[in-house]
Amino acid sequence: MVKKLIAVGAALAGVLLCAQVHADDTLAIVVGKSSSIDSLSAADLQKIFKGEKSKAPDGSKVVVVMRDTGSPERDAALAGIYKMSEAEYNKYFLQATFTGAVQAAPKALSSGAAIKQFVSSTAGGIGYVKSSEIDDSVKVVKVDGKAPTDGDYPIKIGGK
Amino acid sequence: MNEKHDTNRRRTPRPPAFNGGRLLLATLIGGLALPLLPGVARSEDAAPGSSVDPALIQKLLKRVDELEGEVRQLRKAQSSPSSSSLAASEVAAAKDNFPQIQFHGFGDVTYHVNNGRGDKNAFALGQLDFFVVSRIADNISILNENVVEAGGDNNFGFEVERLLLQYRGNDWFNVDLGRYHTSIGYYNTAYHHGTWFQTATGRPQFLDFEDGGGLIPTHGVGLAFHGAIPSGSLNMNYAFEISNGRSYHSNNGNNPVLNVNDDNEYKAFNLALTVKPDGLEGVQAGAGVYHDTLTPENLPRTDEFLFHGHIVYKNSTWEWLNEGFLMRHHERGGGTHWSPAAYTQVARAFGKWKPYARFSYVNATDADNALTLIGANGLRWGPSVGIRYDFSSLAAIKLQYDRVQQQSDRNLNQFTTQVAFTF
Repeated sequence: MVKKLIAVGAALAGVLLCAQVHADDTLAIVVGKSSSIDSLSAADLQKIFKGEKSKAPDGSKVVVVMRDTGSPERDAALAGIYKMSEAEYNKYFLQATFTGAVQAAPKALSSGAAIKQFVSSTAGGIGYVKSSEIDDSVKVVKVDGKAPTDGDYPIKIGGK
Repeated sequence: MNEKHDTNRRRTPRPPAFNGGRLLLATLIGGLALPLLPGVARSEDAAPGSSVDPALIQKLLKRVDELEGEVRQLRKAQSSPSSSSLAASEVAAAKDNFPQIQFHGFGDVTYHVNNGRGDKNAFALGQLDFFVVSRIADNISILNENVVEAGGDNNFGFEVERLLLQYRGNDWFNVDLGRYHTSIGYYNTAYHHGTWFQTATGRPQFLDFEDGGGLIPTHGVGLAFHGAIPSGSLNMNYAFEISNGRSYHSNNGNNPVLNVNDDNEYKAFNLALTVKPDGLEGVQAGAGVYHDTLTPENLPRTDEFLFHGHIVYKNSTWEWLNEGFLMRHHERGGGTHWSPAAYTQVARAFGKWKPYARFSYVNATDADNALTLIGANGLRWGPSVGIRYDFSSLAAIKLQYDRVQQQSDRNLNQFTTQVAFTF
């Protein structure tokens, strides 16, 4: 009986750790450490990334940076923030630039390390990395009050 | 062996949430727990005959070693100077360096056949639209749209459709100076001269450009202010424009857009408000009024009001555009004329295919002498149906049938095929 209890306990611990691994499948919104942005609603996040808003709710300017085409993080941002496909994203920014609604589409960088460097060295920089890439150089922004480790965090990688 | 792994973990500082480490730990705990479970037990009191292959254990442990090695390599790669310097150089390149120039082009080729008097079936080059936007400072950019187009005489002409110095102050205050598309309704601000953007082959006829006999002043030369109005989830925006207005003189070769000289001292004003409610994604509604004082050729001074409104629903699947216009011309000392116009257009995407239908109506009264001068009057209405196929993400072919009931002429039936593209 004791062995069975130990076995069940160990198995549960394994399952819980596996669940922690799934937390890495979320996309963390990151800003520089000095940014005053702590939390954004999903609606405001979308407006900022679409260029409809150039300021955060607290009035600070934002500069959006994306991951390069084909990366899982970019796919997650397109699905979870923009609610668009890659083709729709391209058409959206072409038209938004054409109409003068935005000055340019966001810049794209090729790694999470570059994203972190960009947001930590650019006033108002905002981007995203896998939650497993979070470190002390950046600050994580909650989305709708939820952190990337929360089970119901809305932006997941791979549509999980 | 476990001790060895523990030692390795101590040697290598682990990031707070490193995926590989957790996976490894989970695997190890799961592996430890597994033998304790009934049926897979490997204990000393296990039943005779139940055994675990030692070779398998060695193989698994070897694999664990290999995985740990990979984890160490990945960690090293993440923190290596070459990786971080690569990121640094990429970040430096992504920082704002001015000018930042973007160039795009739009074009189309059309074939049409109809029963119009004197009209022959023909291939036609559409507008070749060159679009450039250049950021010259953090908040300032230049936007330029030029169109090369052949006219009825088959000769090409060139026109600067938009040339703007744009100042982007903040979300609430932005200024454009130069030649712009008036914020009258939705279609004129959403599509400009880019045929590829439009689902249909062309604009509703009464929304055609000034030189095409359109009813609406689509261009203005002057100042435009626009931005957001604090309105919570309503997301209200304004546009306020001051321009020279439109010329109301008979077509004698002069450009109907007053690019350089105004034909009177009056200025045209346009105020438009739009909302995009948070709870209704894809919906945009707007209304506004345009005013100018006209001095039409050989006519009394005329006050012009153009009331406009729209409600649009658009997402990646559906498109439903609805716009209404009401033009009022009051000749001082004379009569007052009202000219309504409206259209509705619905489309639904099925993958790369997008069937659509439009119904448009305009009744620009013949009694309105100012509209007669620019050839925009008449009663016309009718349906258009078509289908668009995007054979590339940057090009589409469209087939469209239009039937136009006309008060002043016989009814028009027209088939149009158009290939529209961007580059």
